[in-house]
Amino acid sequence: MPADNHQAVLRFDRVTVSFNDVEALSNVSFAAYEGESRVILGAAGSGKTVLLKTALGLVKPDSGEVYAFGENLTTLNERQLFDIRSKIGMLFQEGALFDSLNIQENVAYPLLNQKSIQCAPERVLPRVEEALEFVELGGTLEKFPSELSGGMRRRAAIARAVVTEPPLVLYDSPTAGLDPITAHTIIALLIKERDVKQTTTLLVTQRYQDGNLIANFRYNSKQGCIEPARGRPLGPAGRAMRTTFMVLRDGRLIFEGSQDELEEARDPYISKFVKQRV
Amino acid sequence: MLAGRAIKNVFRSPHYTDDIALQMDIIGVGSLPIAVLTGFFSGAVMALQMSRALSDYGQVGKTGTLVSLTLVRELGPVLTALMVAGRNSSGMASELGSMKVTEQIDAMRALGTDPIQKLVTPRLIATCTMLPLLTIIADFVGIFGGWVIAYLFLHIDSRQYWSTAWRSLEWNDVAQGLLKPFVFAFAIALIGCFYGLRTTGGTQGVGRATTQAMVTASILIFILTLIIAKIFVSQAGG
Repeated sequence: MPADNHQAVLRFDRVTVSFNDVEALSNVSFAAYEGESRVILGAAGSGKTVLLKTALGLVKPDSGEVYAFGENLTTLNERQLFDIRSKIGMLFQEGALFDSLNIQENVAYPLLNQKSIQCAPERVLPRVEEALEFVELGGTLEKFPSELSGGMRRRAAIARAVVTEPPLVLYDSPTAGLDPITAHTIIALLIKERDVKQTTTLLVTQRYQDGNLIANFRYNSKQGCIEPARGRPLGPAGRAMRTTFMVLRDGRLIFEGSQDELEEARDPYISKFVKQRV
Repeated sequence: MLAGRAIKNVFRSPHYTDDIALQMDIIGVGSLPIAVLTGFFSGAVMALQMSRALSDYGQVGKTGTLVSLTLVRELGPVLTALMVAGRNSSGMASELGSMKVTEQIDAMRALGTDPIQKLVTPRLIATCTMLPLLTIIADFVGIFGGWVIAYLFLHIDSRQYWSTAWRSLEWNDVAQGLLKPFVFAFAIALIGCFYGLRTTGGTQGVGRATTQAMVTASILIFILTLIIAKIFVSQAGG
């Protein structure tokens, strides 16, 4: 086990995942550190969602090891994984809100069901309201997911993912299928969550613009909006937060590096994503 | 594996009593009208058909015996189970299948809940509780349906009909009639949940899972009734 294992919030070590003999992830290795943002780019079917589900222990790798907060997820059973999962927030691709529950019940779900989250019953509603205010959905407590627009559902799902204040948050294509304005609002919320709560962030996306915003903008808590951040120290005590870009192709990690390195890459597949830049 | 984990969860906390009550309402109260209708008309048809056969032997008065034996041993449990399979096994497959393709099952696991404990075990407990009760109601309504035909069209004395219907039943018949719905309930709930939880391929996959659940549960009901009947016939013969 490498020495950096204890510092890494999440580490993949030669992870391979297959479905019906087709490799969805092939020999993938990387490590994400505290406070770091990782933007994972790739075409549809390149293994981005599988990577996030493997990080959460929802998918077991065929080979290799996955470490989250120092625990080897591949050796844990489902009940043991619940403790680790309580430290990881996940936004699923379409939000995955429970359609039989209203928004209040959806957001309260992790507080009430995750054993390691010790939340007193009288604190549940205030925390739900706080999480919904955070995503600017304060007046939707009694509404059902089917009564909300696509963007509002996505924001409610973000509230559910972060209500327990997990140190690691995984976002699976949070802007997929949304109009540019709503997509920008969602990414601004992600930046706000990252900078206010100091979370480690993994963002899966097909849009380079999303990664560009994550890498170059920060949340200004005084003005309540995001602003350009390149070259400025971020986080508490001037701690520099880093954004690393990863590119997946057919389950293989073909690029890992900074935004500048990504933009300089000659690989036509990688260049396709960078050319999307607006 | 699913059956083993679902049964093990019956004895493990947390117990989702609200979900069990909700499923009992959906499966039990919701299926009551079709169970009553099926029972009534199958009893009425049995009385008509059996009286025709019995008249050849001058035994029309034994109609109550045949109606009650057939209903309690076979038709009541099997027809009620088929109705519940059609309504609930397919319903479970489509509900869980929709949850699967919209990643709600994954979300449940991510948020600290075992989907088998939350979704499968309550449906299993509710079906195992409600199907035997529905079968008892269907049996009684079926015998009542037979009486309506016997009294109105066959002119059999009510007292004779009910006394022959009652006296013909032995403990063996009642035991068989109660064991069958309990076993069928396992098949209906587990098959519905199994096909639901392994759904892939979007809405088309949900439709496929629904059909597969209903067909498989129905076929299994016929196979299981044959096996149970064979066991009871062998015991009675021995």
